[in-house]
Amino acid sequence: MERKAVIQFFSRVMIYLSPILILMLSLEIVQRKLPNDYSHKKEMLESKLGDIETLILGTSHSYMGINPSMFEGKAFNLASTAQTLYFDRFLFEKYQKDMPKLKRVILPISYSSLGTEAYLNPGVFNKSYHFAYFYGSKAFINKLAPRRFSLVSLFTFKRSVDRTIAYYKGEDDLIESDAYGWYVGDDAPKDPEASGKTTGVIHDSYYDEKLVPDNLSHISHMIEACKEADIEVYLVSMPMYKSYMETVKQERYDLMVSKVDSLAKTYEISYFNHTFDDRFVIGDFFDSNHLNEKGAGIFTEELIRNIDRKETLTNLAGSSR
Amino acid sequence: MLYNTLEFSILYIAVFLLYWFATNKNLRAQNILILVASYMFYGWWDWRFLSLVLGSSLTDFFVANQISKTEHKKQKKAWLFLSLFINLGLLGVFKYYGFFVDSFIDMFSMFGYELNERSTSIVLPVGISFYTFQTLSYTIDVYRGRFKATKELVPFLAFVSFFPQLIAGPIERASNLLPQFFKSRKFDLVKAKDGLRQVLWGLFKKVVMADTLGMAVDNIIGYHETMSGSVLAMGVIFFAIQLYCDFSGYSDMAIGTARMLGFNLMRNFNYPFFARDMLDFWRRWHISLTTWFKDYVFLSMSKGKVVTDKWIVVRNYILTFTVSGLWHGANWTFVIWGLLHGLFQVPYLIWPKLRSKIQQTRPPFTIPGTFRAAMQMGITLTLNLLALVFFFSESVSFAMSYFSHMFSSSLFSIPNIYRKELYWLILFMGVEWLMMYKKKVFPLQIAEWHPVLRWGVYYGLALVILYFNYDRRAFVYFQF
Repeated sequence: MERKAVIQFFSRVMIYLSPILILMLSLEIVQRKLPNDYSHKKEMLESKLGDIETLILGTSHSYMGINPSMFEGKAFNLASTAQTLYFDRFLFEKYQKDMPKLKRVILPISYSSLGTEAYLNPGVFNKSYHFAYFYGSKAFINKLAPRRFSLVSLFTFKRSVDRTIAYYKGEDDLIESDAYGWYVGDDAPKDPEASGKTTGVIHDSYYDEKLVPDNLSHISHMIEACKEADIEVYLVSMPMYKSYMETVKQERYDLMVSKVDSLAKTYEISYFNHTFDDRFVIGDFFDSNHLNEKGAGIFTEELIRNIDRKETLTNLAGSSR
Repeated sequence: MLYNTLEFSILYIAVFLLYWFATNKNLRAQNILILVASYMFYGWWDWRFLSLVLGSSLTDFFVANQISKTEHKKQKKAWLFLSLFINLGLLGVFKYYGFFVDSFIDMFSMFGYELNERSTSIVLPVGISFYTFQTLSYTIDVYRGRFKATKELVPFLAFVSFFPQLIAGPIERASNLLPQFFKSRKFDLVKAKDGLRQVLWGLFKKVVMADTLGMAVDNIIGYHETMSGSVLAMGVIFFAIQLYCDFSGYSDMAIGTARMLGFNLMRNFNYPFFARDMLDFWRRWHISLTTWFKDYVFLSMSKGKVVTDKWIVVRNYILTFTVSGLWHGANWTFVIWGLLHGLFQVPYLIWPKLRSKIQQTRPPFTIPGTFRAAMQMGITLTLNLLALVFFFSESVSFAMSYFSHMFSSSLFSIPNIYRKELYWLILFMGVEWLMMYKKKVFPLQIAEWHPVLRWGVYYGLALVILYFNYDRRAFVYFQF
């Protein structure tokens, strides 16, 4: 009698759950059929591996701010949102051996790079799962997390539904990078003056001093691997709008500059620090810490010029507050 | 392991099936299964801290038996002190070490002595405040002769670590929960369904209400210097509801999951925001902790005797609430929060008629009665909200900064952000009000509804939970 009741209860729960599971499964199938930026970027990268001469790594700052098509020879922008130095190294090590023509790596390091790690960072935690899902990274505590296996779980139910509706209504093609990995998305720009105040605080809240040695070690490993393979490395700090830099902590910025400077000297490589470069004005910014298309064009041109000059530019115009 | 994760669902389904099919009618096997599941549940977070749960449990198992064995009052007391020393010592080291060291250094610096050694941060084992209080209550009850020490280890270990309520309560008394480990448990279909409904409601509160409001709260508190006074006031209200939904949601899930395994846990919340005075509020909010402090701290201060001097009662109330504030966290902000709640009780203690007058207004309300009740609720809520600023502030200076920005001329402007959150909040509080009026323990007690309507509600809630499950946050009370 009791057993019967348990079976009755359990089967009712299963009946209740089955439409939900069917819905989730259908949504999962749809998600796998829809394009998405990570798989698109991975596909583009893997189709060009043999020809790539310049590889651009980094976060959304370089993703939006360095235009690979302006480089001589094939360049690929492998940067993406919240891609921390751990993942820069992970991606570099994963693909380096398949890029026989690789001549140079551009490694951007921004204000918060040394104190941030995506899988320890609640704000961009899900980004780590994106890397796990699409690139097979193993930097996770929880190997059973559904986000490692299911796109609906990775994107979340809400975003999966929103993506599906936007795609089928023709409002969004769900791809935000071009064939060379550069950002060509249609996100609405934000006022650099206003957004700086909030973004700086957010980035500071993720910053953890304890992560600095690990992040420096990721950079060193990449530089050493490049040196070994006779690949040039350029360390770059992207321009930031003043409202952003006014919010963040000066001592962290100073630490970043001194550490990266010291690495550049140790390995005899170039470091181009444009953080306070006041040649970039409000019209060059997408928001407080990202360049827009125009700004990216100016910056990439400048970067190429600097690479040709091969000299370290630690303190560019207007670099002190 | 969070309740709203796949890992927990897998663990729970496995335990449920084994419990009712493989180990059914074998009480010992069921208790072992619960114990193993509980240790897995806790160890999933950090297996090293299992030694603390086990150590604390073994201490109290042993101490309680020694108390039972001895006839000498002094020896009983010595054993009790040993338990208090070990349990509170562990709590002190893991939770309060940094707080006391830093406060000590700050105190010295006030007198011009600079001690540079700051405390190193120690990881706080999740749930330590909850299971320590649970196991302590057992030993104190044995000492007081209210409860006989058990000689069976497995049920006792399972009682301390019972996974549905291990890390955020309700803090169960041995007199309620421990005997349930000795009684054969029968599957009750009605109770199991009710338990599942309570889990669903708890999930809704956590995922839809608490997590949605939590995002707005983080934003408002984080950037409070740039927000208007009215938005900051709204932020405190959002935080109050977030905290309530987060914590009571956890309690609902704990009670529901335990119910499906044949256990009855105590009620932890009773529509607290509709309390009409501060004493009433504490009879409705975190009931298991309030009663714990009443039984083991407040009554200990009066040594179980009736205290006639009202100023001693006032002092005991203030002390108890202050200690309860410290229980919530090792920070002066929590101490102030507790102290304020202690002070809020003072008028009712000095003028007992005040409270009886408030409680005279009972439903069904007349129009003046409704107005009076609304005023009383409003005053109680306002006092609560003011104290809550200390609860969410990282420091006293932060709380002061929040107050100064909130009590500015913009306090009376109309907030033009977080409308969606506001609508959810109003809808939620409306449902809570209605269900309190109907005397439901939780709003989803709808067994008598037509099946189509009932299942419609279940599916509606499931879809809303799925849709909102994108900002997975840990439960706020895990940090306590």
